[in-house]
Amino acid sequence: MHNKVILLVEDNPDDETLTLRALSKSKILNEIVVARDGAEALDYLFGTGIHAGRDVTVQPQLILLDLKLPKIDGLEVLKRLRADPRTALLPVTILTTSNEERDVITSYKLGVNSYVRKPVDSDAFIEGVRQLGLYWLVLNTPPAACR
Amino acid sequence: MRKWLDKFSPLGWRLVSATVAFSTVVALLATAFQLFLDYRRDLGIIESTLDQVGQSYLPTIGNALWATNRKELQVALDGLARLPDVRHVAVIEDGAISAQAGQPKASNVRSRNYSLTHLHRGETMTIGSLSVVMDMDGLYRRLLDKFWVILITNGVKTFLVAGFMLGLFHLLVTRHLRRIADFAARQGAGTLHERLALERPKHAPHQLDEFDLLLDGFTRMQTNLATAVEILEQDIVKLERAEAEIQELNSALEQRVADRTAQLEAVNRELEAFSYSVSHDLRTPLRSIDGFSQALAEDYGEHLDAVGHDYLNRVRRAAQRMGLLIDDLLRLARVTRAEMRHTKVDLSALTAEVTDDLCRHKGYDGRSLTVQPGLVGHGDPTLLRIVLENLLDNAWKYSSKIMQPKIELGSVTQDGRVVYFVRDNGAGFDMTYVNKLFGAFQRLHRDEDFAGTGVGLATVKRIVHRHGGEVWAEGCPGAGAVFYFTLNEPLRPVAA
Repeated sequence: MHNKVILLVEDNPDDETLTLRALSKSKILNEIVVARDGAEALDYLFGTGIHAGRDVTVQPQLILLDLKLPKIDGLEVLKRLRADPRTALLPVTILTTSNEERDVITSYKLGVNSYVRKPVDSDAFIEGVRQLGLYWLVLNTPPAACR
Repeated sequence: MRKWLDKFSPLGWRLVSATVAFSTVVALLATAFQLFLDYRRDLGIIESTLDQVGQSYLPTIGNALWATNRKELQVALDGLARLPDVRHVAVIEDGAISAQAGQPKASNVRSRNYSLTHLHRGETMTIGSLSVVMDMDGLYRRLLDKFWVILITNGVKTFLVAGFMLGLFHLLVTRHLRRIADFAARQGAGTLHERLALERPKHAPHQLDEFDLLLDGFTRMQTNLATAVEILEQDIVKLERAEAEIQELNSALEQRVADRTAQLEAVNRELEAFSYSVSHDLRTPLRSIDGFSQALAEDYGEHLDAVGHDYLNRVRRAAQRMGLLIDDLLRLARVTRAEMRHTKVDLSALTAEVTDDLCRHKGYDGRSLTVQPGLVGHGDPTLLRIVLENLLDNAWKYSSKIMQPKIELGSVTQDGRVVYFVRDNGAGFDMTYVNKLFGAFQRLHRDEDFAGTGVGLATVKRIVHRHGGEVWAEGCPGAGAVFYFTLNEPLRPVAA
């Protein structure tokens, strides 16, 4: 189970660092792949662009998706991966700064599995990431195709 | 005839028929009086005839009777009977008719008896009586003839006079009246300069009649009307001009409203974009500040002394406080823009939910709260929930430092309106600063005493105002505070 990948889509290097730190402090040992914009995330998922030739039968166990991203934003990434049968069933958690109601609603309409707002208080953030990892990587049972 | 007359001249017909009726009555009365006079005169003639008989015939008849001269008697009686209107004469001796002339008749007669006397040796002797019967038929016939003559002549005269009057009336009055009526009916704003003329000779100023007066009055009326019409036309021009101006103003106003609406929409869009940006971009650096401060404290804590850790803690507190400020600010903005739906809200049930949340997240003791059961309000449930959250959170927060906090949510009826209140026995506030209470970022307590951003009550006020209600507070330092609010109806703040 631990060899499964977590895809973190995050453009802000500070946030990336803090998220990776939170994951490691939570003892989550999965490999973390970081995509720094929406296009890179889609390239990784579909084995295109800089990730051409990647074995796309192996998909991440969890995608942590930011909303505000350069090139292709998080909602668009969500829409496209839900539209593709290879990635349609992947667990996706929005991990973002805003909790604008319209973002929450659009995300759920597009089939997100979870929406988490990053709090300013980093203690709360670390605790949140810990719970996310525990839930999505341990407690939750994904469809067989995603295992 | 009457119909034709009615059509021709109803007024003439009415005048003539009244005149005819009146003159008929007068004529009948005059005739009756005249006939009565004639009757009296004829009756006098008959009486004088009878008197004449007494004077001139009685001696002759008396002598003839005394001499028993039958022949002479009969001649005298025949002569008497030939007098006008004498119907029957008879000499009566010892109760029986001894001689007579003419035809006897019982009715419609006038009779007189004379005593027949004879002077014999100086002594007047009654030798019989003479009865003379006068026939009244002649008199009556004459009267009847006269009656008919008078009636017919009167009738003919009346008819002729009536016809004459009708014609004259038409000539003098009716045709002019009709002309005046036609002229008046044709009168309009455009014909006021036309003058009414009647087909009749001009009269000298001292001979003016009613029609002249009428024409004069009519002309003056036309002049006055023309003046009035002119004034009205001027008024109408003014009104039209005013209306055109109003229309112009209206369209300008509509344009302005449309412009302002567009501006407002643009501002709203900008505000929305701004809030979105604030909620994303302003918080991101704060998370970096807090996150790396924490990482520094945790990962490199051994290189820092107590002061260093204190500084890092201050950095983190400031960052977190700014995070809260941003959140509250965004919520205030959202509350202002949020679409409202009005519905009946069970405030008691809503309070139970809010209490659950607050107790779970902030560690308040729910037992210190008393809620009036069956509390109902009308408004937007989401917004009313925010009101309750803020008021109850405040109540718990400011009574957190006393031994036995008591918080009460209820309603009272004031001037026929429902006033909701949240009362606590906590820190209270100084009424001098009550005006600052509901302003954004205005606080009456120091953050060290009671933490807060100063946005909660501003949010409450904005929500209550959006419901058309009022919110006010009463308090006393150390003796607690009461927050009142109404929904739907505006209400003057109650001065403490």
